[in-house]
Amino acid sequence: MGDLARGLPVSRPAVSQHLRVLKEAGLVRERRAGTRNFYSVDADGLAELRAYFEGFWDEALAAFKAAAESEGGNENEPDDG
Amino acid sequence: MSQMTDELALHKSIVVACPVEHAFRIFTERMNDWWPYEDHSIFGGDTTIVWEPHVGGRVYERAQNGEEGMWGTIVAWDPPNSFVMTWHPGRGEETAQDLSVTFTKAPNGTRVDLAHTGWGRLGDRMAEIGGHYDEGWDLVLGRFVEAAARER
Repeated sequence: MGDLARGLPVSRPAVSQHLRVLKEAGLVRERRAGTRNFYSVDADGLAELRAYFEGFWDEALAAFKAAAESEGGNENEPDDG
Repeated sequence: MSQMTDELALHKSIVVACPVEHAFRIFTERMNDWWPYEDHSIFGGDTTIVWEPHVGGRVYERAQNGEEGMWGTIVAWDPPNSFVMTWHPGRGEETAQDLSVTFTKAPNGTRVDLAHTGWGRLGDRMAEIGGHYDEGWDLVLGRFVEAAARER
């Protein structure tokens, strides 16, 4: 680790923190073996996240459209001066 | 992972019957009027979405008790034409993606194009951490540190 981490601005605790965030987000899996922790990519997590946003943006943009067209400025002429 | 980027990038377009300026204003400073935060927010109902409308400004959620939850940071701000922000609501900024929204004059109003990208980068980040797990923690740690330093 000393060779690899030399002069780089990220501490080991910071890396642990990053990994914890990724694990909680379902993006990596953790496996313990003896005193070591191994991390691997959870591809399903990425796919699930994307699927969520795919549907989410449809819903959000529809709500945005309804709001934009109902709260004044809702004339069909875009040139309002 | 570049192929993954192409496959995963999310693009959405919608036309709203109002001027560009109005669309931009509703999308940003009036987001509380329409965002489906009951189902899609960090704190659920009774939350306020706050925009700091400038480059480097934060977009975050504020609960009734004052607790704040980051959504992202504005990296480009060109009202009423476009904005770009990092996107990691409810997640650490280590998993930030990019959200780009442009507002363009269209025959019947304003076309809004939304791009939610950075999936490949997210995958790269995951691979940097996990792809070499069988070589042991020290190597994985080193790769991650390099990746983190590269992206600063």
